[in-house]
Amino acid sequence: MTGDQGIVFDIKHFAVHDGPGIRTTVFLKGCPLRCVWCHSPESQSPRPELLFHVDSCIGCGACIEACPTFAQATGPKKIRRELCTGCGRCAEVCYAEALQLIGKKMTVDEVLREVERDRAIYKTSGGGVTLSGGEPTQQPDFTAELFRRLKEGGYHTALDTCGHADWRVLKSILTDVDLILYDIKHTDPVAHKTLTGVGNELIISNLAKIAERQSNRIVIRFPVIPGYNDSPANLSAMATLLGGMSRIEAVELLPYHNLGAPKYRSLGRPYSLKEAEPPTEEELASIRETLEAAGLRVIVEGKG
Amino acid sequence: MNRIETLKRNLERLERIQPSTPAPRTVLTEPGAESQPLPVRKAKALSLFLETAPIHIYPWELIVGIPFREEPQGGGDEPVRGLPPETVSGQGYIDGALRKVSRGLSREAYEPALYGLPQMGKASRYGLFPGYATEAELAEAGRFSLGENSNLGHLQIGHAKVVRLGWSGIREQAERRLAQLDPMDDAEGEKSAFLRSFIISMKGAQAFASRYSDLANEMATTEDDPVRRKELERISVICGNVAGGPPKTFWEALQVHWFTDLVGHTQGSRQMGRFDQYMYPFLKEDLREGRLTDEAAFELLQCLWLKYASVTDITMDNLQNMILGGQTPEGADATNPLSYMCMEATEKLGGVDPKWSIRIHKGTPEPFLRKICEVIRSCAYQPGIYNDEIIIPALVRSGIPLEDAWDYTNDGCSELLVQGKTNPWAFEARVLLLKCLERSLTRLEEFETFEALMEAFKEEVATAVAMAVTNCNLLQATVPKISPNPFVSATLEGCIEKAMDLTDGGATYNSSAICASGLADTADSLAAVRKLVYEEGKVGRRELIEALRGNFEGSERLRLMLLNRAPKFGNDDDYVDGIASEIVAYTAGEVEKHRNPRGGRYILGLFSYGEYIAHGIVTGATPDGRRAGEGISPNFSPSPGRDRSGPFAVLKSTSKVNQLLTVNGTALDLTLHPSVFSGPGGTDKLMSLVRAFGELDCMQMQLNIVDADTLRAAQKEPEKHRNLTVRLWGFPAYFVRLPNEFQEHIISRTEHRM
Repeated sequence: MTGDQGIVFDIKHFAVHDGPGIRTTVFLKGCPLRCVWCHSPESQSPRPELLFHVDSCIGCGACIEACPTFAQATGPKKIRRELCTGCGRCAEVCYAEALQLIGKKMTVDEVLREVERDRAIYKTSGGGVTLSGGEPTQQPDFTAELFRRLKEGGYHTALDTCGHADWRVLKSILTDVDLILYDIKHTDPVAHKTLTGVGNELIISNLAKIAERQSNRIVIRFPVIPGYNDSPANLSAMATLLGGMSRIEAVELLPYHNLGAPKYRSLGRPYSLKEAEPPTEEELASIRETLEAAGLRVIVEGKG
Repeated sequence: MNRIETLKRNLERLERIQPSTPAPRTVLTEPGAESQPLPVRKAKALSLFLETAPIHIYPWELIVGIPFREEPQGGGDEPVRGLPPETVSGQGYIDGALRKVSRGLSREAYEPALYGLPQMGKASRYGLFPGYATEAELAEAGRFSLGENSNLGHLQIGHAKVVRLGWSGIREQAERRLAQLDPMDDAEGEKSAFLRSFIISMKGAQAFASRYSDLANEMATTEDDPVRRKELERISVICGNVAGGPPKTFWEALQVHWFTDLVGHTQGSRQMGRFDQYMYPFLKEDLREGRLTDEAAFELLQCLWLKYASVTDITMDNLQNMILGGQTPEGADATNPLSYMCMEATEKLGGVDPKWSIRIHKGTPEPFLRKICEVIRSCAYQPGIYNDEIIIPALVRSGIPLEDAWDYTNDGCSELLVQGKTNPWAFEARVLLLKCLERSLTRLEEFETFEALMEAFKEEVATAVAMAVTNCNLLQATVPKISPNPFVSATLEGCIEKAMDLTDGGATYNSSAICASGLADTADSLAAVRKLVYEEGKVGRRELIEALRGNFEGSERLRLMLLNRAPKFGNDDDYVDGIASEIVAYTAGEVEKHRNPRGGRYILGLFSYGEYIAHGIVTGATPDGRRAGEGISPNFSPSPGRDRSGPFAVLKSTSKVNQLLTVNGTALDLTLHPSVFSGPGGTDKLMSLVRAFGELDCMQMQLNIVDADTLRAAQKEPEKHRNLTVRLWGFPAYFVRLPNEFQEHIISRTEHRM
């Protein structure tokens, strides 16, 4: 894939929690991590994928007729995903919107046109454009080109990243980024690998390098998953790690929610975090306290 | 004793009673009464009413005067207010539509202008008015379903003039004009009759205030508490002062304002206009002279607020509406300390009355905007927001000089008028755009091109406009023959000068409006037909007609294609927004061709009011995928649940419709999920949405910040959510006091999440 075209899985207008002001968030498909709590599993694969919302299906059978590979041979309720090429013809004829193709090829110009629509509200709110995912660094040329063009157009830019990318790749993107929303999920490499599929060495070393660059604003995002990454040991290690870095403006706590669970069903995948509960107010307050003690500014998503 | 708390608590001590029915009264029993001119008889009836209506002063009140339907039960420190059963807001619309369906009348494409002119000769929600019309007059008016006191609902008293001149000053003005009247210029005696009717009305109001002065004085003599005795003596003096002359202090101005408003209730006028503008000079002077402290002023204002709140229990849709902020004639910002004080009173007291809206413009100060957004965000209250930057030019385009356009206000609902100078007929005539489309679609097979369908639709619109105008003009010509309005006339600029009642065209401005409903549904429907029938050929014309006739029975897939495979208004999509814009431009052109009997123009407004349920009930299945009977889009808003691209996209879509053409006004309802504006900076984000609304030249919007879960919970346990308010067509209302149909419609509107 060249820099001119990327796979986008959603464009969210009027995004209010992805950086300053009112923004448009462009979600790029494909992620190197497989976090067990992921609330957007449809973002993980780099390929287009089918979501099937069973409750919307009216059983008209149009998808079966449209499918060229017989993936839909026995009806949408039993999609044979191993045969699905992601061509999207079934979703096209699914007027009930029960079948939805996630992942659409878009050119930089097409994305810019979408983003341009909201210019007046960026102006009145001090907002701009955030690239998120999935993981934008998985489509490095497209991401870099998009940021370059956005900056050229005078937009405020933010990158929402898991940080798991080759440093040269990451560095090439950062030139035109104003704000980095950088995820830290766990400080322990072994636990990190268990929970996300990859170790955290690269992530932490990249963060240190970004901080050294002294040219981007950094906000750390910490998804709080009770029972998985909220142990006192991990929190204390977080405080030590982040407290020692000078460029970090804030740590934003993202309380776990299970609103992503139905999407697993729609993708025909199991959801492994059934037993997790959202953190309580008390727990969030205690995490805040630990991190604030290390001199960090802490915000809770949607609360402050 | 905390006065405000006490008054507030007493307000909640309400008992629903069977209203007493005094013997019918009339002013026709006087000898020779029948030969007197009608306006004079009407004024005498008002006087008789004001001289005899029950009056009462509750403990610790500072602003006095009870609504005319209120019957205090018992006295003492814990008085009980007695009121007849509440009129449920919106229920009348639903019942009307169901009656129409049951009578087989749902094929009509236009609504004759027969709404909203309640006949107050009988017991109305605001009072029991004496008879004054002859049998011949009643018979003639009855042919048009009009009667004694068939008053316009969206009329505004010239409150600014009342506080400036007092009733006595207005009366003197009319007396001077009468003295100067050239007999040659008044051969029929009409002009002198009008002027006499104005004078009698003002005298009636003066007598009414004097009665309260006497009552307060009498109560003072038997009051044991020395503090309260002094207050009663003061109240007596104040009522006496405003009976005899113009108000001189803030307290007097508030008192005469409330009395005027009460009288207005019986004359179809319940709106306050630019309250912060005409009241502030009194407050400023009192503060400067040291006659009043900020705290005392705030207490007086709250006393007035609680008076307005006492009307909520009569009906929530009571049109008690004021507008705050805006501009001065020089284009400077008009916000003043009273503008803030008004918002704070509502914040402190809670409740939906008095209703207020705000005007914004490029120079609206940041603290004012912040205050408004904090109120909205806290869900304490939902004001309508009006944009000077488009409204003033729109009024100028309609022929109103700039020197008056700056002084616009909303009426009791969301229509626009010049404060104290307009008799608007803003509400009565309707065009149901979706019905026009329904009628043209029956001939779909004849149309080889989309343009041909559009032409046929436009013909239907033109016919509907012409018929609505005809009906509305008949009413406008008939009202003066049965229900002149001398009290309100005297307060409006123009009537005394012209020696003419407002119903005849005495006011300076005399517009009439056509209110078009269902714009979004109609644009969505036309866009679907254009794209799927004419451009892509996915649906045949016969196939579509049959599916619509059969209400999509057995063609669910087709319905879903129409719903999900064609652009919908509210998503910043030029394809359908362009159609909406074309409909409005065409309709405005048709509307503006017409004139009314008062010499005024017809102007267009985009309103459904509470009829978005009713219009749905009488409309069959439509090509936007809507099933027969389902509710339509409210006012200028997208159809419920179809705006999926965020609130800013909704603003963008509406901004493509030229709102210079919608001079009567528009109302855009936006429902936002509370999470959107939660957290730090939430108020700033809301402010930036309001600023963007201003920059896009949108005319009016009203925000509901609420989630479906809360509303569902309120449906289940209404008693726990008595204070939950939502914005309806022109006013905030208590959610749990609405008919179920309206509750469900609000829930179905898109909640824009994060």
